[in-house]
Amino acid sequence: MNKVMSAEEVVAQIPSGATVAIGGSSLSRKPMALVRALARSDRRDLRLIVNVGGPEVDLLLGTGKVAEVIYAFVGFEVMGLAPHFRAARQAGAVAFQEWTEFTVMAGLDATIKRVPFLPTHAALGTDILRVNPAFRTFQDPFEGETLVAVPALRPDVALIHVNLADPQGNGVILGDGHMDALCAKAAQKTFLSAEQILLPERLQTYGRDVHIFRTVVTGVVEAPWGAHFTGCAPDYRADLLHVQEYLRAARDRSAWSEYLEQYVYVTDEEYLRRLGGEHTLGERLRV
Amino acid sequence: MSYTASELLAVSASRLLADGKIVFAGVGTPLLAASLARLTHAPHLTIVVEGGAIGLEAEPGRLPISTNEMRAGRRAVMLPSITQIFLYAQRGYFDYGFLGGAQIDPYGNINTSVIGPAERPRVRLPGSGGACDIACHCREIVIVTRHERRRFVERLDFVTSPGQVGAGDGRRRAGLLFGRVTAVVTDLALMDFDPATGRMRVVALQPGADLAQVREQTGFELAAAAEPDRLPAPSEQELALVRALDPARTFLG
Repeated sequence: MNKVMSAEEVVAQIPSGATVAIGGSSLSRKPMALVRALARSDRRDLRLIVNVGGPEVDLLLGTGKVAEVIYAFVGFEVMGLAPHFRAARQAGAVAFQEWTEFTVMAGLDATIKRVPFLPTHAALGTDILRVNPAFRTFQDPFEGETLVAVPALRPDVALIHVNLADPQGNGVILGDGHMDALCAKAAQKTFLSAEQILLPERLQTYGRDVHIFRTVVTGVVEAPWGAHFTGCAPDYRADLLHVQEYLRAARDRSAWSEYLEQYVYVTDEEYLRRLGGEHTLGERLRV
Repeated sequence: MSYTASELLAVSASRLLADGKIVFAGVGTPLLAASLARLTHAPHLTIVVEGGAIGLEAEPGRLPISTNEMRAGRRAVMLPSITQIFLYAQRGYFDYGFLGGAQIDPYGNINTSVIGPAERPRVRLPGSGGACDIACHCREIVIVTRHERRRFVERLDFVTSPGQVGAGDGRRRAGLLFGRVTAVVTDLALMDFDPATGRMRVVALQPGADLAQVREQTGFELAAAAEPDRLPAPSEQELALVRALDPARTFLG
């Protein structure tokens, strides 16, 4: 079955109000081409689930797409805080649920296992339990110890960027896996973008690196540089110059509208042209 | 020999890591310290980063800027995913967890979430990330941070990661199975926790720092021996190695 489609066709399957899990981590392998397509759409009130979020959360907040974010971390690590995340959180306009990396993964895992929650010791003794009504503590029915019940996270949609895919939706990840396989299995519909789409018989030569199983995938988009300006090991590193450009723009209202015109409200081909073209990027961002 | 506060922090933290142990390190000072320990007294130290690398050997001048970057996997023994890393942590295999924080209280609890009320914060920080999970599941937690009065506060605005939780057996009462905060390293002092009160206390002072200065930069009452020990200054070898690890001073500032 051929599942190849465009980014716009992916967005057409994501209604306003949908719960969207986004793969990758921090400045690594975020599905930025799909996220930019979502940012160009008229969708509203999305609920995002991320582990270590960064540019994708900030861009969707900065374009008014988001009603709620479930996250363990949102920022640009050593590059700084996320401007729209910070502003939205401080303004109180968007709902935020702070989880932790392990509990986000446990919540997705619960959905995959079709159980309502999974137990853990993580977060005991913290305010994460106090401010987050999603978590409950309970007594272990065998020994009586106190544990945290991490509720199942049930994404409607997962967006994931991979190095290689075939038209049936098998996905190869060559760098860190992050929690992408969990997102893909937990979501009702999973969409991949891929640096390159290969014929199935070519993809089969990557057997051990196929981390996304076609059965859980609804659509595949070919998107070279589709993780930019995050990195996609081993194809390219995160573009720290562009991170700086993004952060400068996101801190200033008029610079932000210029940034959107320049890099978001354009086709992917135009986006690459404005960054100096594939060749220049390839030289600059070699792993 | 002169050195900066960040160099001092990396060197002091590296000395706390024993050979043959496993350290769960984040990027920045923790990874610098762990890499330095491997180059000096702890060649068999295993470095784990949450992105999914176990046993990595960071290349001088090419340290990863993120634990989620492929450079973090250089010469790793294995590259399982983040999901596996946290399973190993829960099983209790990781000896040290290295953490920093925007606020730290007398019990070693850490805030990396918000400044101000949680419902409507004045400053929204990035959040727990894996810090809470690391603090819950590592055997020994080491806190590494600049010593500033606004950081060392009697009451946190938000407890993101558990330290000792409270007096006495706070962690056990909260339900955590094992682990404790063993050290707080700053550019002014090395601190640990009084077993009787559970509170932070000064063990030793950094070169050039005095107790009055440490107390001035601490927002809570800090016990100390009348004459605390003095930490040895970073050696020329340690400084040369840590500078070679980060020649562009991405992490050393």
